[in-house]
Amino acid sequence: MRVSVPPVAGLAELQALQRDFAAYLRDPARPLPAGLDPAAAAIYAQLFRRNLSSLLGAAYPMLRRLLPPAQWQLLVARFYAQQRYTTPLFPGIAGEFARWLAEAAPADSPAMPDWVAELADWEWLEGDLARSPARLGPSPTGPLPRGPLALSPLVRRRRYRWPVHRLAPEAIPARPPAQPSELLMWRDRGQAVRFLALSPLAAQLLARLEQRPHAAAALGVVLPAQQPAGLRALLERHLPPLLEWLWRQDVLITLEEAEACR
Amino acid sequence: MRRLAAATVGVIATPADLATVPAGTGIGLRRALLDELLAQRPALDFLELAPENWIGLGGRFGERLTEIGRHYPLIAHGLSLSLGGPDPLDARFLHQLRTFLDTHGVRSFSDHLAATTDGAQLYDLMPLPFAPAMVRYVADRIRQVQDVLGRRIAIENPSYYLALSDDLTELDFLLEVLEQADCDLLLDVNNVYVNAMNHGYDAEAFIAAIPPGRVRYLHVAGHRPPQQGLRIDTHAEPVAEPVWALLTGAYRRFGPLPTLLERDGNLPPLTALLAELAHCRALQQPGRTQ
Repeated sequence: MRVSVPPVAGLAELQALQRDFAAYLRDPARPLPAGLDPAAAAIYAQLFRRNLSSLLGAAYPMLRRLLPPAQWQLLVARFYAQQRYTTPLFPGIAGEFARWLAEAAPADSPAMPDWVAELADWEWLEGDLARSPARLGPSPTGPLPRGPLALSPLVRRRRYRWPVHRLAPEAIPARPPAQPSELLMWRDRGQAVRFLALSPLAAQLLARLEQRPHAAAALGVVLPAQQPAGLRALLERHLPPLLEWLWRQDVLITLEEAEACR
Repeated sequence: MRRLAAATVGVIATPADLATVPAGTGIGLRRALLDELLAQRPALDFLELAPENWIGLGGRFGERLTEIGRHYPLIAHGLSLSLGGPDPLDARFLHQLRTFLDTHGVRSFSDHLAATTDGAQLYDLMPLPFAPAMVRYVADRIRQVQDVLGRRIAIENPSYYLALSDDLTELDFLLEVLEQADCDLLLDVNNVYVNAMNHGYDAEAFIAAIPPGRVRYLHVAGHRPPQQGLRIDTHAEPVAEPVWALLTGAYRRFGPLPTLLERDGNLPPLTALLAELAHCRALQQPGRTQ
């Protein structure tokens, strides 16, 4: 095998070689340290990228399916060349990929479709909620309580330009629809992760509850700020069943339980 | 170098049940296997997991892991300590790791004789330069890790496709590290085969040079047939016939050591994996009578 450091090299020389080889593995456009076999080094670089691609592909299955393979590979390669994350935990690096797609990738990879970052965020949410160490108690019995209600710590609300929950290989719109997608994802007490496309009323209700807890009886009054007479009637009809449903689904919990989860 | 903990020099006293793998055979624990394992409860002597996949995991996965731990002994095989990497050891991670091992009653911890960092995580195994200065460096770090984790660890001989330095042979490098660090070896038989073929040495002679008392357990796995002259350790194929033969030789030398069948890619149904494991056990059993 090739020798690339002088015999009886000191630790500093060996570590410099390790760093240079790693720089090449992250981005094979960088120079390979002198003396190393280019063919074997290229195989190494390919193995490293393939390994990361399979780790990320498991966390973002729909994104991987929707992107042309060459584009997926390119994003993984660019990410690997740029990322400097120190987390040793594998879900952690998958999360960094979604952040990179939202923040750095658009400038780095202008050909990246516009919906990529939003879809990655949505897929990341699912895994993140499934893994979250937060936990709710056993299912409460009885009707919606009178006391203040809050959102469960296992609820995430998102507004996306793209309908990420409906994207499929044969269903990628050319441009985002006029209306944004208001989406809710949550983990229930049975530990199942669920999602819902929100009606405008439900989105407003949950936005209010994100800001501060309210008693169910007060929500009709505070929502929305100005209420025309027709809307008031609509609220009286639709709000109680919506609240009841969100309570049954473990989206809403009592303020008391929400504080105990913190 | 700043030490991570007040280090005790010399052999660390490790409770035996924190540094041994149960006798018999096992497979790797993957999230996708949790439900199937709990439903079928196949006869497995232990399950091996990568802590980097499981630390901090709540929800259904966390619950299932706890349940799995009630039915099977767990051992851990890490990928991120970067024992030979050019960065300080990650003290925060080591403490997380220790908490995880203690919480789940994990019997054995191992990682690779490799580097996985260059100032940040590489998420893969970079080979170490086989040089005397690296032996001292990595042995010192292994001792620090053993101190923080409160147990003796095992290191795995990784597969490598090029040598960053050949001041020492791979074998001498490995033996020196084991000696200076006073740690155990997780002998990956497939890696011995792959490395021997790729770098032109005698796999049986390599195994014959390893002191029996150092080997904690064995790994066996599949590899990809040669491409551009190199065999690649993929863990995505069934175990190759010459590797079974080498494993049989290892049992002759070391006795019926606990053995883990690794499979990370191209996953077959659990029944196929268990059939392959049964073959492994059949090779291991005659060893027990010798």
